[in-house]
Amino acid sequence: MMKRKMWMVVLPLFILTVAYGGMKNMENLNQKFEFLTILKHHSIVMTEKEDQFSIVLMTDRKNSMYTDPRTIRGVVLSDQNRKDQMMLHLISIQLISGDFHHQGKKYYRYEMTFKTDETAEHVHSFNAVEAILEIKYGNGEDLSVGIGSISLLKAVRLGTQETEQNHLRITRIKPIVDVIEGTTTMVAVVLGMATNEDIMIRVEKIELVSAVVSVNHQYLKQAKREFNMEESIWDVFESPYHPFFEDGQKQVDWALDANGTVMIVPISYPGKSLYVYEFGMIIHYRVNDESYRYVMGTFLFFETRTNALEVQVTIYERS
Amino acid sequence: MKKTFICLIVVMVLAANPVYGKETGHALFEEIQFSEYSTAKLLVDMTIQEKMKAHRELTNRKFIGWTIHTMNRKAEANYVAETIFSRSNATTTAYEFNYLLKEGTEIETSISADGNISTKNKGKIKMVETALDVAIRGQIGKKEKTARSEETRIKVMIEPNRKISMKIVGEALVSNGVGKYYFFGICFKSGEWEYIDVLSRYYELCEEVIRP
Repeated sequence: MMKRKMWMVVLPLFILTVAYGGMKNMENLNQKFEFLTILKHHSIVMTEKEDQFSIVLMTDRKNSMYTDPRTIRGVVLSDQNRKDQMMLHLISIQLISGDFHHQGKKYYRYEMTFKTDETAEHVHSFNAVEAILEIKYGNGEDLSVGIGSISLLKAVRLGTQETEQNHLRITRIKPIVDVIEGTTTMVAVVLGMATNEDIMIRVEKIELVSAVVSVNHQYLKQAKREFNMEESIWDVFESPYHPFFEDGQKQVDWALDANGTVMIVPISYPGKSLYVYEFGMIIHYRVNDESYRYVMGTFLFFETRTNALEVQVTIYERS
Repeated sequence: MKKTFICLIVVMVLAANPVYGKETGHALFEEIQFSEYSTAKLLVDMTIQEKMKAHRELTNRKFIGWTIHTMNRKAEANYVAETIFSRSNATTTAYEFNYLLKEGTEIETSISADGNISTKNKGKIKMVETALDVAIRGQIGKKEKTARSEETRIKVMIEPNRKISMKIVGEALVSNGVGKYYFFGICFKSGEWEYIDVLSRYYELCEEVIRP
């Protein structure tokens, strides 16, 4: 008798759930969904301990199947030609506060948090100038959205990679920002370094964790005075010529002062100006003829409202 | 006797106003500087006479609602914001810590108010009542929201007798003015307001030597 009563409750509930799911699915059929992403220059430094990163996906619908983690069977990060690919593990999708408005339309912001499969036994990276996030759903649908450029570095730890002993420390970081071809962007980094022990450190190269910009070693110089963050690049380099679009590859050999050395690290752009405001850095140096790498995590150097955000709207029509 | 009484009232009203402990009147900013050619002033730097003069400009009465007068509209300024973190090492051994900063969703506006205009906290942001905000934004222009979330993750080593701090400086637009609220033609509230719309933020990490 008790069993029969239970069935009388469970069965209608089951039918209602299936019907609701079916209706929801039918509702979404033949419908247009809009997804919006901000095309920024992602610089992600991950370590064994801190191995998650997030990408924000915006959509014009709240709580659709496209932002439900239970409907997603896989996510792949790839370059534009889909030659280089990296499988990502989706950890969560969360609706975050602060709706985004674009061309009079409201978009809900979902933060997708990922983990990678790669282990951090050695330093390795994934770079894509025009990265695509491909989301594969259980029902066979695929959604591909552009996210801008990405440079994802998996490091053993923050600091020196080859040994747990940190030979050097960062004493100063600040940006020098200027306007290049109408875009307010980073032109150089004021980078202070000092030795932690009584050893001789020689810096050979500074690498940026970025798929689009690099260091122009040709113009790397020691800072002999204080610089304002919005100081003109002409004044910083004391020259009417600016090195933004030069490759600037050159072997350097800077001996770090025990009391600290402050360097002006100029940034080189790939032939056009881009809004770059955050990146991680790798400092390549030598101690007693041994090579080491010091990994500095992603640093947010500046933010501005003067640049328009570059967004990509993906219209997805469900059939 | 009458004069003494009036003076006492003024002192009591001033004492009741919020004191921010900072010289800008805004908890978010330690220092705000206008360019040397600018005549703009912050509310905290204005004299009572300057504020009274602005109140006298509020001539148009309303049946119901706010009427406002703007003293400074979008005056360009440079600011030094609050220090995000500061760690000192007064011991004899070095230590390190992993620093993580997760930036919010939008570049904010700082609002302060005096007189009968009150502010309330909405998350980290101070707000005035919606009707007044609409009236002010009608005069000084809308603030564009830039929704994003950024992260800084670095390892910082602090040597003995050193201090590491992270601070923010940047550019902002300052607008301020006075306002009166009428209900059936009777003035119920009056006071001063100030909006600081942040345009840019520059982050700086710096090591300093401290005396043992």
